[in-house]
Amino acid sequence: MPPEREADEVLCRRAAQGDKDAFRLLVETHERRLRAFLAQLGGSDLGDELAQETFIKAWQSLPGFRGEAKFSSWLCGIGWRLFLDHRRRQRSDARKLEAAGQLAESVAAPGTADRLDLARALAALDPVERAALVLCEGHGWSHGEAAEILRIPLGTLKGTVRRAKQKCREHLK
Amino acid sequence: MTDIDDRGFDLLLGEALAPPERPADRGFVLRVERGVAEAERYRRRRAGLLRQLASEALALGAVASSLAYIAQAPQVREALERAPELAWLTLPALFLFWALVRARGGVLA
Repeated sequence: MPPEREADEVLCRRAAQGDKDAFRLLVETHERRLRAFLAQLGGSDLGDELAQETFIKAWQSLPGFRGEAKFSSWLCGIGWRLFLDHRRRQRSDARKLEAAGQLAESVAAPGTADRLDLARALAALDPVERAALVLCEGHGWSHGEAAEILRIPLGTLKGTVRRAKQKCREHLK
Repeated sequence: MTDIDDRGFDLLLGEALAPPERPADRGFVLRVERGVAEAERYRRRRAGLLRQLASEALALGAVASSLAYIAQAPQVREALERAPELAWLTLPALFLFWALVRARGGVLA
């Protein structure tokens, strides 16, 4: 087992018994990746809000976490489901436009023309396509892990990543 | 947009979507800790209220069944048959009893 996963497991066990210091270490280790993932889905403000909610939910659910998956992928899965819940609640077009604008900002940070075009292409993607692309191409998750996080079959995930890449590529041409 | 090949596109995608390299954000960690503490307080308060509700329901049930048992005694049944409004009077009496017990519990707490 990789040392970082072992360290996470020890911290998870301690946190599940109410050890807040252990949980703080878990937050420090995983907040960067989780916030980046959620910001790429809905913009940096919403990303931060959902990431905070994700950690609170994780703290409450830790006693039931059996360590079958990595802590980081379990966490990402909670964040993804919170994002979907949020999206169901906020269906208005104005919200979507606002989120797409914030998303363009979060991806296009260095400000090159290519990055800006790519940000627009990503904003035009369906959330599942965007999430699959971010997880597999940006965050280095394997297809199997990403499928587990998004709770979709492996074949569907692979097709989604391929389609999302194709759409971005066409947008950039 | 400049014309890029597949490899260039993959690199661009990887760079744009990768999480930023930075140390842990202490401000965010503190916000999470405050959120966790708040959620814990809420959970304890909710559990306390549910326990209180359950114990009060249990106490009321016990009092009601005692009254029903007493009402079956021949002398009490006879009195109730002569004046059925007495049965209805037990309801406000029961409520008063419960309110008194609650008030006393509040003072003692």
